[in-house]
Amino acid sequence: MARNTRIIQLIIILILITFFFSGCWNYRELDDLAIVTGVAFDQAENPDKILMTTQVVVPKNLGSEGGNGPTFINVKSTGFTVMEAVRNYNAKLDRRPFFPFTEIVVFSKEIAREGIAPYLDFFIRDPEPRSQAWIIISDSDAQDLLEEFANIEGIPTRALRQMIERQQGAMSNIASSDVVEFAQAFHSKSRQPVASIIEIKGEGKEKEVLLKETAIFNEDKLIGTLDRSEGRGYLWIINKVESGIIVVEEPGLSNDKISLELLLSQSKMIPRITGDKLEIKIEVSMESQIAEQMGDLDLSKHDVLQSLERRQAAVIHNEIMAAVKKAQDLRTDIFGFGQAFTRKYPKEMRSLEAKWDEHFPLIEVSTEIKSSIRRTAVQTRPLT
Amino acid sequence: MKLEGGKIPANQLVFLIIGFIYGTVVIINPGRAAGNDAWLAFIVSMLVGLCFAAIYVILAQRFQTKNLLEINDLVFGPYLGKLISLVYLWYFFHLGAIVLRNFGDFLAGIIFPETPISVFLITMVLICASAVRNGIEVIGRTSIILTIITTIILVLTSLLSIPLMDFNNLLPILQTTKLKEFLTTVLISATFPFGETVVFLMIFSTVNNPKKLKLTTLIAFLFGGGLLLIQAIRNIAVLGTLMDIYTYPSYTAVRAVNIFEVITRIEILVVINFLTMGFIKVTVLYYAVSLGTAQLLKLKSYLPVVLPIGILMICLSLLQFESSFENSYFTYTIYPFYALPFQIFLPLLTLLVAIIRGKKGVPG
Amino acid sequence: MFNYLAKKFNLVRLLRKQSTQNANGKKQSGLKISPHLKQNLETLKKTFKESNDFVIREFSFGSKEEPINVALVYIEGLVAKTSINDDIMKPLMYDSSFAGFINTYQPNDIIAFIDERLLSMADSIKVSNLEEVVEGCLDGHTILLVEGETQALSISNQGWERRSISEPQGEVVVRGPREGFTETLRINTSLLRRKIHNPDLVLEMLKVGQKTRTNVCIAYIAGIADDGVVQEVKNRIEDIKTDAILESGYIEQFIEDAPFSPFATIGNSEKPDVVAAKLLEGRVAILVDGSPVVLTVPFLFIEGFQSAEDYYSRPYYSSLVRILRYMGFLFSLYGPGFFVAVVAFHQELIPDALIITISSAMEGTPFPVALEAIGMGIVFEILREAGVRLPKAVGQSVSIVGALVLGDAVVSAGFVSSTMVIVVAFTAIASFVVTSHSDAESIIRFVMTLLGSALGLFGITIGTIGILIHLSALRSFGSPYLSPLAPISWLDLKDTFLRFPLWAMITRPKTIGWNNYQRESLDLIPKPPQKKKDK
Repeated sequence: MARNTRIIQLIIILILITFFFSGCWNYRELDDLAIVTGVAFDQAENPDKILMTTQVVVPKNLGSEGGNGPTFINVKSTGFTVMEAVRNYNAKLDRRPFFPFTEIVVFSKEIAREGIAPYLDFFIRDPEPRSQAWIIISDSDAQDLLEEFANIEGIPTRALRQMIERQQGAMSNIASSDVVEFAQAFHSKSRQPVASIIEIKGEGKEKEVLLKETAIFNEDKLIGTLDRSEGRGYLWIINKVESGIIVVEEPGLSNDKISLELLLSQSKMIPRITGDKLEIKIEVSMESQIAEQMGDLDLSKHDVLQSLERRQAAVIHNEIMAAVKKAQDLRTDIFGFGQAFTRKYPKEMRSLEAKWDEHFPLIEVSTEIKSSIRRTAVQTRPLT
Repeated sequence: MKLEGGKIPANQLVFLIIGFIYGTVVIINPGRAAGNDAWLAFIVSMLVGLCFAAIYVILAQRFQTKNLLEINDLVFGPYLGKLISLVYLWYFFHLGAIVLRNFGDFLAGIIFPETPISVFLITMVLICASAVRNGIEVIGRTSIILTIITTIILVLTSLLSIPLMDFNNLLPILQTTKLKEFLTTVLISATFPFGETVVFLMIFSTVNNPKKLKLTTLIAFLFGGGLLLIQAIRNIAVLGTLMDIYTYPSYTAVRAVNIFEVITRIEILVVINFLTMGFIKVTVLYYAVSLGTAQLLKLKSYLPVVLPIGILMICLSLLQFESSFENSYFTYTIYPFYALPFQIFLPLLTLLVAIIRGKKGVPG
Repeated sequence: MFNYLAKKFNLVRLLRKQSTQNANGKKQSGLKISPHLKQNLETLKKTFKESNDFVIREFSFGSKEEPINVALVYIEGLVAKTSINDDIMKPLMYDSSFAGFINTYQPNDIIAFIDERLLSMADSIKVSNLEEVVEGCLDGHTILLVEGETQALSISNQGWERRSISEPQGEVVVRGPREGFTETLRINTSLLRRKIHNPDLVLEMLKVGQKTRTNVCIAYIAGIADDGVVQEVKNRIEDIKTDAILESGYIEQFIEDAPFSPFATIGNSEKPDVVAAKLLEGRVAILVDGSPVVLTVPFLFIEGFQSAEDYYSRPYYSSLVRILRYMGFLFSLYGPGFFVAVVAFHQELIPDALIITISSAMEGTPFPVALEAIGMGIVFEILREAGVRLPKAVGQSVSIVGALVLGDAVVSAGFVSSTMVIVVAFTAIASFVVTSHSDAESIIRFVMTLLGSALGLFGITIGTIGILIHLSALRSFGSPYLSPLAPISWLDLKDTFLRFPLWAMITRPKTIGWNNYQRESLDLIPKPPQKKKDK
């Protein structure tokens, strides 16, 4: 029994100790924190400094019985390093900025051209920020993206994040990566990162924000872009196409268009080394359905369907080849061809890896596309 | 004279060993030098560890109800035996302090950056002390529940991170790492955690069915090692090339989990795992040191030495490293060579001398 | 301060001395019944301090020449008056003389004669000691003393007002028997007998309480219950040297294994079917006169999660409900503590979808969240206590005022965040799921809240480990409290997290009734009847 008393004493002492002596170290109330939903980096006036803009939500005006004030505020701060800029917020903001809910990180194009790795270190090293934030390259100043624009969410950063995620699921023609994916690619010798570019159009009330294209990087430096069809080509290669519309022309004389909605797609890259030649074959197998027909051809015929399938394959082939050409011109292996070779030919790659940017443009890329059209939605014949 | 009257059934020993093997490996990754071959290195080191364990079990079964210190006395005679026992006790004590420090470093470094490290050490030692005072039976029972919880969490976090996994990251096998790095990793993981089970020589004698020891240890090693293997594979598959830049890969790997925007940031589960398993590891070491000290000093009960040893352990773990960098340098470079004599040379020597001198434990 | 302690210490020492003296000097006075009736009656009167419910009825019967003087003594209110009139006095005074019985037989041993020939009572015993007479009276017996005899008849015709058998309020079931134990020991034992028609059901009677002399009955099934446990229960109950046993709770507190633990190590139930089931698993029941609550030992942690209805309804839903009970238990332990830890230390754990909601609710509340949680916890306990103690009608309105009006007002006034009210309210509901451990739950909930607000999840994990250590160190009458979880016993897990079908529960719980473990035959799974072959 005496043993039990001792335990109880121990527990009581423990509680007292913990409660009275440690009650304030890491204790921070939720209403002492400014929840950061997005961060933007620009070049400050002083060229050595960083201009950091953070978007912070104002919970008072959100929620079920929210007030009428603004739902978010943007706060600017400068510093020689990211951490210094973060600390400088304490002189500007009435609450401590809190990063785990950061959804996007925006960089201006100038910064992206000089390299964004120095900024990303903060997001990977510090335990607080979330490493699943999307990386966005802004066409104009990064801070402008955080300003109010027409959206349903009410908070620009949230809207941007939703846009990126919707885009991936419904269109799949602009590639995007989050901090970890970017860092993984950056860290790897045989793969280069990509990110999405967002553009601002219009002014004031007509201001519009749209996902424009895919940025491609060499190491951490922005060196070029992929337009939407090249972007999808890129996604075909890395097996990230989830959905989308493939527009083909009707077989026959009329130039009427047919929209094919992508249902399923799988792709693989198969590297091969023969002698000195590096080859890679992209195997895509995909399935789509006819979602829309502008002309009046009877699509229920077998040969028509077959020819549609061939046209579909051609579209995909062109997209892939366009993306490859762009990347090879820029000598940046965004596809991870190098990784594919490393996995299959580790010994050969040991010598090739060092000068991969010279070998990459020489890779011969071929495609093999299994294109099929399964259903014709609810119609089998055109309206007319 | 028996200081510990308690007996634990063999199935509790399984959980205790599993918990001990999990220990700090739940969060600290001994295999990071081997990059994406870490999981292979892990399998090899598990086999090496099993060889270590075989020596311990043979030793324990030869001397039935005797624990490590009594074996030493029997084999090396009272004076040399005492000296060797003292050396062992130092190792257990030091290991306990290191584990405690790993604890503190992680908690104070990542989870509670503004809280002084001593708070965690003191709290932890207090709770371990209460377990140690309750004896081996209670430690055994507590370990069952904690180990089961940890296993569930480990499997759960691994399942939840399946969407993040890219098994291509495991390829190519055995090509990118150099042999030297691979062997170093094997050595590190064999000594930490598997070789550390040498401390169970203090506990094997309390198992009520010594005949089952072999099977028990084998099951525990395979199960515990298997789960750690799952963890290693998960970490490589999720983190890919970033594996070697993170200090705590398991922690970082599950950070990315996001299921329906609701189950997010479950890394705290990994922290809970770390806490509970670290508790088991510290408790086992702490118990061994307390029991051994009492045995050396010929006390009637080990209870009076529990708290003083705990205080000393806190002091040592606070003083031994200046910073967490020093700690991880020690863990990855010095520790394996420091631990090898205790984990393999001394037990092997004991066994050989015992065979040569024909010493055996009297059953019962 | 020291003075006070010294005094205390002296008092304890004094009491020690006294009790040893008592033990030495204590001998049964053992006053024999004297042949003089008057003298006996005087002694009895003195013993009862002339209380006016102590009744002496003197009369005589037999022949006029040699009348037999007798006296009936009893305590008004404890005996059935009609039975005294019809079954004791009438045979003696009327039937005997009418038949000229006494004259014919001229008995030598009048007591035996009365007992064997005259009284039409089922239960009577001979006593020869005044102690026993007094005890008999107090138990509600009627005592017949006869002039010139050194023995007396103690006739059992108790008949006091008793509550009829009704459904226990604390353990309501939808399916299953409705009857519950009452305050009368005999009725309670009869309820058990009616469940278990087996001579192996042993009921042993003990008297406990130096002043109250309460009847305590130990029930067990010979051959299933462990003899060691039965003996241990008996020893512990016999060792109770106290004034009064007013309720089985007194017994519980004197014999429990872990008096310093918040967890109960002795189970209780008001339902005969529950107690019968526990007896059949090899447990020992302790029935106390005057209390409808029957104790069962050994009591394991998991018993708190089992309910009688689990076994009456089919296994699938029972298993689901049982898992829900564990979840409710965990939630009620950790709810507020975890919430405080997350909101004050680990905000990054809040799901994205909730962060805005929670933080806008927290906005502008004046108190730290830890204080809110503890304060609301206290308010809840007060409300609960008020609701329980008040009469039913008032109690309900208290809970409505408390829950709805107060909760709403507190939130709209901005004192407490609405999320906190939700957490506390749900915790409150969850805590009613497992009633056996509810007192431990409340205490641990507060401890967890404190730990959570001091050290976040680290504190909570440490607290949990501490509780686990404590629980694994507990034993209840030799059985480890946490079994079958720790030490693990695979066979017994059939009735722990899931409730296996009855036909699959082949063995009795290992830790309790292992000396006779098979409880049913192996092949009980229902099967469709074998089809007869068509000719």
